Amino acid sequence: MERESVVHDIGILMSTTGSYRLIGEAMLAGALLAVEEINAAADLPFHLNAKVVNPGGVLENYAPAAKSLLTEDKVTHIVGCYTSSSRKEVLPLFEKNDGLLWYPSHYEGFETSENVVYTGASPNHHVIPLSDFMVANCGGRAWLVGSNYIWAWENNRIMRESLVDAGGRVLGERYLPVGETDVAAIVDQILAAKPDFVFNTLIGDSSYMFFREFRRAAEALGMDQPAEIPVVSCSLAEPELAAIGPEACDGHLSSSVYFESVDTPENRQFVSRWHQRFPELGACSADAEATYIAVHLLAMAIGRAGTTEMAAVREAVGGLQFAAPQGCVQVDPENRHCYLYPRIGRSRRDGGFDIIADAGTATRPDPYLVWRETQDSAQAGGGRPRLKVVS
Amino acid sequence: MRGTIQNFRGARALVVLYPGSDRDRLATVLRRLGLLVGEVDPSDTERLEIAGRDGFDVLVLDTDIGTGDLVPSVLAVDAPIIAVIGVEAPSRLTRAVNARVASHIVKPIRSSGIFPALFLAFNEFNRRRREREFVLRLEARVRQRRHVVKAILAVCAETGVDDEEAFRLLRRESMRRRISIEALCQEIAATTDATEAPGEAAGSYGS
Repeated sequence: MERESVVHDIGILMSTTGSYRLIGEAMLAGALLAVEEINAAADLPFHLNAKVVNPGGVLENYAPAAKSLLTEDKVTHIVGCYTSSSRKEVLPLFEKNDGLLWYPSHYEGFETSENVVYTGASPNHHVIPLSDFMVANCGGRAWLVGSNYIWAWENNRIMRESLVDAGGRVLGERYLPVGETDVAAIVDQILAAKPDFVFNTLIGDSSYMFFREFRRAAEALGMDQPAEIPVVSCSLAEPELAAIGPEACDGHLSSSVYFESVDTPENRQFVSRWHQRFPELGACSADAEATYIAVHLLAMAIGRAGTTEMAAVREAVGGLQFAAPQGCVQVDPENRHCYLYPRIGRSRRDGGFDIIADAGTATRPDPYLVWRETQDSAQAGGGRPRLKVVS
Repeated sequence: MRGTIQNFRGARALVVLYPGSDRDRLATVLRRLGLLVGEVDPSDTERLEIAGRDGFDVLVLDTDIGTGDLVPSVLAVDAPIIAVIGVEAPSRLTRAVNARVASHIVKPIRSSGIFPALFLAFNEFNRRRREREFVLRLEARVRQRRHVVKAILAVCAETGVDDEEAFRLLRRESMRRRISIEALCQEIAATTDATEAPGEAAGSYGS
């Protein structure tokens, strides 16, 4: 069907090559799926045209790429960035050029830029619910292992403080250089310490190797690793289970707002379209869903504002609701982060997750963890969800 | 125990800025971070005085406004000060130095930079407070040290022992009487030197 086509260009800034290309590809796919849906929808008076740029996972490439989209292609809205360091790299350009970054990744919080809409999970959506769940169901003695960078440091800090508040404690904490796959020493230390669980903030190959080695070493000692010392992560996603491999990918817990197995009508449609459109990408993941949400919210906000002008769209996005695959999400007008649905999944050998706990309702974003309950603040917090065990 | 304060929920911020987008944005972000915010125009002395009497946990002042002391004379400040800096000329910045601001925010105010300014201000102020208390304790001991020296000299003169022996005698006596050696020596010095003006070595570290 032909319709009067006003076309709005939007930028997509995703690394589809380089060390985190798998995630970049999935996020790009989520964005493109949303763009196609929007352009097929009869009720919007415009089309979106995606201008895709690939910084190749190289930090220095992000600023020139964003600058070219903002100043040469003259786009106002860019959906993109996965790592926090790349986001920090491009933010000054958005401020200077009155652009809006639609940032679709879970991150460590402690930011509320006027030039960003955040559609991924904040710490109160994943770390805090995970800590509460483990203390309630498994015990509070944890061992923390992570990659040596900000995401791991900050999440481990939040986990440690949350556990200590709940009467738990940290038995050990070690970091590996990003990309390091010699995990044997850490595996031995953990097995000797016998914690109630391992909190894993390793990324990429380090993480996959850790899962495999930890399973192998535990089984060599006659242990049932998932039952005796479960490994829990924030936002461990389906594509990563495939990377770990079937021998060691089952029985791990992941705290995330989205799993492919979420049972909503919107998600059933989303997953079916995903597999039809991108059969080569395998299962759909949380970051892909967050990117899909970002593009839909962007289109809704442009529609509401009647313009792509930054301030008008930023104003229009506050309070917007979207029936997302994970549930109906909403943008908090105060901090432009989203109300999302904390869940705990347990991984299966076939590369999927069974959802074993679910907050049931959308949880208000609390990027600075202002409203969480702690030992010294007894007031009820809006930002601390209570997960209900569902299976 | 946590070494740093990182949640400022319920803290009272007194923001002394003229109305405008800077003040609006700052107040909005501070409230978002859970602070209770009072906003007062720098020229409104009456309201400043009232706000000062009500008390506050952090004070935000504009270095661009006024001359002389950065802190309005009607305010007695026992809280961290955050400077809002526009003009970067030394005459402005000197006022921030003299007021011992604990951190700063650069104009135009953006939402990023406010949380770190609070974080630094509260934690730096707490550290300064601990250091000030430590200095006061040290100063008290230094003041009393004079009395110890005088008491040793007095014991030497009276008994003919050397200074080492005099110190041992004094320490034994203080232990017997279960008071500090400084307190004992202060008593002895007071009786032997009645002309000494008390408290002349008072600290220079007060506000």
